[in-house]
Amino acid sequence: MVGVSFPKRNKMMTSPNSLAVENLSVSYPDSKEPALQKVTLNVAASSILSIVGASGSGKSTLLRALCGLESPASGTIKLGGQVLCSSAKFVRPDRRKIGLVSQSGDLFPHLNVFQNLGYGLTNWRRADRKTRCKELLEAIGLPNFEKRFPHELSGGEKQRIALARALAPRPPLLLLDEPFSNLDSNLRQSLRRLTADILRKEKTTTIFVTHHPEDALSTGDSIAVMDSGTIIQCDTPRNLWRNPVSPVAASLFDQINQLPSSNFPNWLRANELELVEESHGGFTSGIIHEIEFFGKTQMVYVKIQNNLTPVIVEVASEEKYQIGSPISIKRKRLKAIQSKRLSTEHKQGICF
Amino acid sequence: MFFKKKPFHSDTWGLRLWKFLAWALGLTLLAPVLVILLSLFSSLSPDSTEAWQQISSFLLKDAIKETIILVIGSCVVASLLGIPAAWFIENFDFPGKRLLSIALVLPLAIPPFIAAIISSDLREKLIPFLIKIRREEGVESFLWWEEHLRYGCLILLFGSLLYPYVFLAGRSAFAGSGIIMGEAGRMLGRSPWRVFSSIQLPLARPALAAGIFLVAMEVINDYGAVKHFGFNTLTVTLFTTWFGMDQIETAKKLASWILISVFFLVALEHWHRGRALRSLHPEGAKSFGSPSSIITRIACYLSCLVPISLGLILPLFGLIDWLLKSSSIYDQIDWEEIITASRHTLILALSSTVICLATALIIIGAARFSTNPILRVISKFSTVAGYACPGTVIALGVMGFAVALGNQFPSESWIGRLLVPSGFIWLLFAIVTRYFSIGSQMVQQGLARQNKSLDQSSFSLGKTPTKTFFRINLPLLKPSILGGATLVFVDVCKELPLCLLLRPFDFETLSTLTYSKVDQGAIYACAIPSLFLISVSMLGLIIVELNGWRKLSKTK
Repeated sequence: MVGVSFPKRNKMMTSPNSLAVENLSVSYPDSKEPALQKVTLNVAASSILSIVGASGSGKSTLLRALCGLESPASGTIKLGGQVLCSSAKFVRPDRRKIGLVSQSGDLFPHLNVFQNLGYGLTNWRRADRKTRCKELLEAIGLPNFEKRFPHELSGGEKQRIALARALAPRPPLLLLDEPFSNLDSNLRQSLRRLTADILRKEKTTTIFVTHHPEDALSTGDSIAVMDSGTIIQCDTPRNLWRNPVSPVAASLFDQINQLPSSNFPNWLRANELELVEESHGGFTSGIIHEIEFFGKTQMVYVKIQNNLTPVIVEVASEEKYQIGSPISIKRKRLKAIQSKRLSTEHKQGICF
Repeated sequence: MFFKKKPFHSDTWGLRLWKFLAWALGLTLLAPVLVILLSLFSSLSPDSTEAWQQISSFLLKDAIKETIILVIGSCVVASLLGIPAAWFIENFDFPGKRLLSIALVLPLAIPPFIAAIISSDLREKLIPFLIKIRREEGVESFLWWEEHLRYGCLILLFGSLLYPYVFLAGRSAFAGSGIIMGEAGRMLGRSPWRVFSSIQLPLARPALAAGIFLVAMEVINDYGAVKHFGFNTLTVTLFTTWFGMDQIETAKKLASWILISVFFLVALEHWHRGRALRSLHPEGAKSFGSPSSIITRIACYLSCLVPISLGLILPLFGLIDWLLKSSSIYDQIDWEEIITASRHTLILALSSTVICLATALIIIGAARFSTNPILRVISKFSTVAGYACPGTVIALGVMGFAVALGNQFPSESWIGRLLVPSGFIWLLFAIVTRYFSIGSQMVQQGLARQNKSLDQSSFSLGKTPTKTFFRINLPLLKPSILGGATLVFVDVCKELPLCLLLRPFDFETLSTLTYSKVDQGAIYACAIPSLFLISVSMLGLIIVELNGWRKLSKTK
C-alpha cells in the first residue's frame, strides 16, 4: 500500500509505469462548461487508483483523454516519464500502449477467444503468443476456452476475457471503465477480487472507474473523487471514508443527511445517528415517515418540522418502529466527524 | 487553447490517402447533380428559350399533374398492400410465414415496364366495357373512363410491384421497438388493433415514410411503364425534350427544376423522420404468438396473399402465358442476341456492383474515422443524392460532366477517346452514381451497428484506424456487403432509362432488348429476355432474404 503525501505540485513522478497528469482540460464544442478542468493526478507504478463520481462528473472523459481518444485543450500527460500529450506533442492512441476494458467488454465477435487475446500481440513470436494467452486464460480461470466465440460466453466470462485481452501486451497502464456494471452483485464481487488479484500479480498500473462504492473501496490503493470535471479529493480508501472533503464526496459512499447549517458538522451518515424516545433528548425530533427493510439493517425516514427532506437513520433490523410515531434523533458517537474541508490548494494535485 | 483540435489519428499516411480518396470519389459522385443544379443559373440560347416556353406552356402542366397523381396513387396502394402484410408478419406466428415473407419481397424483381407489357392482355379485357360506354354515354364519357382506367391500372401496377419497399421498411420498424411497445400497450389493456393504431403505427411512421419515399422515387424515375400506358410524366417530358426536340439545354433546365422538387421531397422525408429512426432497436424482437381467433388467422393470410397475388402470381402467370404463346416463334428467336444482351447485362451489373460497394466502403469508412464535418456531409449527400435523382436527370448530368471533361483533352488522345460521351465508361459512371446509395446505405447501416467502442478497443491494442477497419470492421460487414451488392446487382439488371440514354452504339442489355422488341411491336419475342431478367433478379432477392433470416435466427 502506498502512503499519502502532498508533494509539491510541479514535481512529476518519473518512475517506470507511473502516470502523471497535470492541468488537463478537455472541452466539447457543444458544451459551455469544460468536461475536465485542470485535472492534476499522479498514480504510482503498479498501484490501482479508483475513480468515483456521479454521472457526468468527467470520469469517462478523463479515461478517453488518457488513452488519446479526446484531444485536450491544455495539460500534460506523462507515462513512465514519456510525454504522451503536451502542447508540443500528441501520441496517437494506437501508439500509447494503454490497455482499455469497457463496460461491455467489446470482444471482437468474429474472432475466437484465442484470436481476441492475441489481437494486440502483433510482433510477438507465435510460441510466445500462445504461452501468454494460455497463462492469462489460466489466471482468469478459463483454461480451454481458446476456441470459443464471444456469443458462446456468459457476461462474466466475456468481461474476464476482455480483461485478459487488455493485459496480454503487458500495458504500462490499464484503464477499466466500469467493467463490472452489467453483472449481478455476486458475480461482480467475485470478479472484482479476481481482477485485483491479477492486476497485483501482473504489477499493472491501473485506473479503475466505477460508480459502486464497494468496488472502489475494496480494489483501489487510492481513490479519486470527481465532481464537475475536477478531482475534489484523492486519498486512501480508509482516509477518504473517515474524512470526506465534502457532503458530495461522502454521499458517493454512503447515505448521508444534510443538517441545518447551524449544526456542526453539517452532515452525518445514516449509521452515525440513532433513534431515541422523545423524553431521552436528542438534537432534533420528528415523526417516522417511512421504513425501508434491508435484511441486516433498516432505514428509518424521520420527517422533521420545517425540513423538506427527511433525516435517514440506519438501525438494526430487530428494532421495531411505527410509522407516524414521534421520535428523537441522537448522534451515535460523541466524537465529531471531521468535515473540515481541505484547502483549495489541496483539492487537486495529490500524489501517492 | 493551444492544442490543435484535430482528429487524433490524422497523422497516419494510410488514413490521409484514404480520406483523400473519399473526398475525390464523393465529389465525383456529386458532380452530375452539381452540373444539373448549375444549369439553373445559366442563360438559355434564343432557340432553347423558345423550346422552354413551349414546354412550360404546353407540356409541363400536364406532366406535373400526371406525375403527382401517379406518385400519390401508387404510394397509397403500396402502403395499403405493404403495411398490413408487414404488421401481420412481424406480430404473429403462423404456418408458412417464412415462405410468404420471402414471396412478399419478390415483386421487386419484376421491372414495371415488363409488367406493363404483360398486363396488355388483361387490359384488353376492358375494351368491351369501354366500347359499351362509348355507345351508350358518348365520346366524352368514354374519354373520361378511358383516362381514369388507365390511371387506375398503372397505379395498381406500380403499387403492387413497389409495395415491398413499404413492406420491408414496416417490417424493420415493427420488429424493433414496435413489438416491445406493442407488448407494453397490450399489458395496459389495449386490443391488438388499438395497439397497432395508437402505438405501433405512429412509432413506425418515420420508417414507413422512408419506404413510401422510395416508391415515389421509383414512380418518378419510371420511363418504360408510363410510356407504355401513354402518360407524359416529367421523366417522359425530359426524354421528349432531349431526344424528340433535341434541346439538351432546355432538358437540363427542366431537369434542374425536377431535381429541386425531388430535393424538397427528400428534405421533407428527412424532416419527418427526424431522430425517431435512430431510437429503434431491433434486439429482443418477438411476436404475439399464434393468432388466437379465426378472423385474425384469415387476416394474416389475406394480408400476405393479396399483395403476392397482385405483385407476383399475376405477372408470373402473364409471363408463362406469354412464353406459351411465343412458343410458335421459338425457331425465329435470335438466341445470339439474347446471349450477348445477357453478357452485357452481367458485365454492367457486376462491374457497377463492385465499384459501388468499393466506393461505399471508402467513403463511409473514411467518414467513420474522421471528425471533418464537410467529409461527413459529402458522405451523407452522396448516399442520398443518386437515388433521389431520376435516372434521366442523372444521365443529363453525366452527359454535361462528360462534355465538360472531354473539352479539356484533345479528342485524338487516348484519354479523349476514353471520355467520349457515348462510351461505356459514362454509362457505368451514371449507374454507379444512381445506385451507389443502395449499396452505401447497407454499408452505413452495418457500420452503424458496430459500436465505436470496438474501434477504440482495437486502438488501445496498438492498431491504426486502417488496420482496425480491415481486421475488425470489414469482416463484420460481410452480411451488409453481400446484401448491398445483391440489391445493386438486381437493380442494375433492371435499369432501363439510363441504359437507353447512355449506352454505346449496339450495346444491348436484357432490359433495353426487351424494350426495343416491344417498341418494334414484337411483344412475344421479348418473353425470353424478360424471363432471364426476372429470374436473375428473383435469385438475388431470395439470397438477400435468406441471409436476413439467418441473421435474425442467429440473434434470437
